[in-house]
Amino acid sequence: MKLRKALSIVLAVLMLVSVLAACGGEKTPNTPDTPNTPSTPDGGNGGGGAEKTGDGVLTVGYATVIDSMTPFRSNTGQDAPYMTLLFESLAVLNDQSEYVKWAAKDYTTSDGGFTYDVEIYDNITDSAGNHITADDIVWFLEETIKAALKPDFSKIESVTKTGDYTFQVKLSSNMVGLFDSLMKHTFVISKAAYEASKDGFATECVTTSAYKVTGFEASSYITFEKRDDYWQDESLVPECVAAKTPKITFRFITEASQMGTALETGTVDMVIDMPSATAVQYLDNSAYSSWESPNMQGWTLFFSGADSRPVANDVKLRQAICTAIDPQGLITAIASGHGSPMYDVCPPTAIGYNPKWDSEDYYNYDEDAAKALLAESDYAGQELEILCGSSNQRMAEVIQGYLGAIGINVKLNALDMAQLTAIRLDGTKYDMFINTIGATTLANHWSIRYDPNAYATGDGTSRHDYTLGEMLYKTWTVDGYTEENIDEVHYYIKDNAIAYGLFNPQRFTIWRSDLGIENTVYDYAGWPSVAATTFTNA
Amino acid sequence: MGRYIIKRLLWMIPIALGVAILVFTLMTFTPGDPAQTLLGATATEEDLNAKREELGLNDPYFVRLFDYLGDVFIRFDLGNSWITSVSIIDTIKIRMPRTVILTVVTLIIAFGLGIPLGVLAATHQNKWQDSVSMVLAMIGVAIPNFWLALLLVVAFSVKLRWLPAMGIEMGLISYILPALSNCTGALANCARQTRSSMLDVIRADYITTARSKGVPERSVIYKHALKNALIPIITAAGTAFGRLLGGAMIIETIFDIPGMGTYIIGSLNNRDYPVVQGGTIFLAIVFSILMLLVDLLYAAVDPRIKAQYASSKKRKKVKANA
Repeated sequence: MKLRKALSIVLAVLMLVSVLAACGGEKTPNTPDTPNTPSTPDGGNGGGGAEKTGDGVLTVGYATVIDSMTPFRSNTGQDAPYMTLLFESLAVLNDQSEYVKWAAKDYTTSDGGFTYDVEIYDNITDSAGNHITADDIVWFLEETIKAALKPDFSKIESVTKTGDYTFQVKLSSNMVGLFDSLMKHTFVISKAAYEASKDGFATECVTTSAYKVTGFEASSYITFEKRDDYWQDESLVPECVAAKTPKITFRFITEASQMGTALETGTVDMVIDMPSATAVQYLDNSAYSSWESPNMQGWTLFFSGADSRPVANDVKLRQAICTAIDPQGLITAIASGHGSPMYDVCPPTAIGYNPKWDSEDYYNYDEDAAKALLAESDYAGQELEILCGSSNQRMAEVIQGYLGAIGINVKLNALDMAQLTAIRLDGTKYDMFINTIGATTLANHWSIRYDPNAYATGDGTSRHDYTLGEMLYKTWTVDGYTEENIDEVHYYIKDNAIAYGLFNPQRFTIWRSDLGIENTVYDYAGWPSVAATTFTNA
Repeated sequence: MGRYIIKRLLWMIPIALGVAILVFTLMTFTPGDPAQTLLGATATEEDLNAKREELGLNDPYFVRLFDYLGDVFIRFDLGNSWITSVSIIDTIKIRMPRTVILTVVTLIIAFGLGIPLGVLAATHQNKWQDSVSMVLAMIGVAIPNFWLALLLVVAFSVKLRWLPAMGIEMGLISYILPALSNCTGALANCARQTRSSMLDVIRADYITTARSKGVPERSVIYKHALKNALIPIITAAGTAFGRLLGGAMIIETIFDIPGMGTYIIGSLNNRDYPVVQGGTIFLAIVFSILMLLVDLLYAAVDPRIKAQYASSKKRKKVKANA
């Protein structure tokens, strides 16, 4: 009897203690302290303290998982920081948004920007020792065109080998930045190695970068180790992709709060792209250092161009909607106060963005002005529909609140990514669509969204605005890519409220302050390059 | 008994077939175009059609269904993932053991604590021990596992630094926090089931007889009563095992465990039909086997059920001997 009583008391106390231990407690800075047992795939410290083990492995937490190492991939995740460690490409974009040759030794253009002759280095070898020639590059380009995973590659008309290490690419478009983008996304891999792989490099990969993959678990981690047999003279490697860190593990952590936990427990040394809500708690903590960079993809509200939708042909209604939304409110609600309002449909990180736009009016938030515009519009109380991804429902709800305040009825339609992808280009399915569009140049961004001939249904929202189309086409050519022409497109989209740039969230990289960072090198996405930066205490 | 097992194993064929047809049909009519998901929103109609043709999505429903059933049930091939091109069965071989470990550790904790808690409640019916046990059980049912998971991480990983916060690299230790977070529902159900089952049994005549014969109370409860109360608890354990195998997605995500839950749900979001179908069929087969094992366990703990499984020849022999 006594034993049972004691057991019941012990059980009750245990439950209570475990709950209380988790709640509250002393609020101390999250100082990395006692080291503990290893947990990371390659022996980083995991279960316990954040102090460094000095094992030379830099462990990086990152949210975008990698399920396969295949080089044939869509645009999703293409800018993930591990991509340049897997495969070298013909060129790379540096932190100044300049394309720098990497595996390409040289290239020349002719035929008004439609034809390019490229020469690659003659001593490229992959991590399995295969010698890379022009045949491999031609094969990669042809396979990528066939796979149709990236829209840019569909603009390649032909690719022909012209020598052992030279080839020629003919394009169907001479749009500014197109060839540079193709160079960036053309991976240098050995056809023989790829064909010998049992699953197309999905789980075992032969790399061409200065690193080789020494550990990979889909959706969990990937480990890179510097190659001893790297083919290139290090002085010729672009600084942003230099290989300084001997061993790097990327650990995929999809749950936001666990990113912070991983950092605090020493499971990772650094977290790249930490959500702002989690990151803010480390900003004033001396044990951690942070780097904020603007997102490459700002949030934009696209208006449907389909005639069946009330917003399609009602400029005043669209303008009323733009004026009713407070970007600062969105930044506070969605990005924990870390973001900046947008002054164009593109974020300022896009090549070609004109900083003078930042000082001009861009639908300044004004509820009364919005109501006045609404009164001038043809809006008659219809229910307007906002389409968004299920992960952005909160943003849609905030916008719904702003629009409700001026008397616009809004219905939300939050879908999972697969459903969203299926209908996002069909303007008959929504009035407004919240989305981010990534593009390196303004011309590229505009071609994806506003070219009336881009898709069977018109532009990216089923609009058929050929006036805008003509303006766009002028900016696509090298000669037409002038400030005047770019301005013309910017003001047309802005004045007609074709779409509205909401805000650009900041992205955070947080790391232990004692990581000993020296000579920080940033990649084009604005993150400290984990391979090219020197970590003295990794 | 052997005939019974063979009969049950044969029953698994129509069950797996039914699950395969159901999942295939549901996936076929789920909104979202796999070709569009694979190629992205900016793919041209021509590219999309080519991809649909490549994936066989342009074929009529019945052609695709019979092709799929042929692959699975005749060639025993679950196919490859559309997203990663990796063999589904190979991926299951890697991921399934992690989910099984998580489930087993969860059940050990849930039933290791739930049964004593239920017994305590039953033997002290309407006393404070009963109330405390049942309140704990209610709390267990009510606590969301993701919330508990985060609390446990803060307590045991961040503050106390006893256990890893994520990953599986430290072996079984890595599964303690995930299992603790995952076990509350099963623990609560087990405690309530044990209490109710024990209350039925401890009022039985043979328990009174045992007591009147002077058998120590401890033996009465744990040898006589609990053994006879086990049948519903075993049923609960089997059902919980099956549910936990397929439903650990949230815990796997929080604790960074690349198991079956995240595999199937991730694939569902990407409309990776072969993975969803293959993973679900595999889990259905595992669940059927588990239910068979549960039935066999009934026989192990209850001789009356064992006697039912005995062949008619054996039964006649036993009768004749009697």
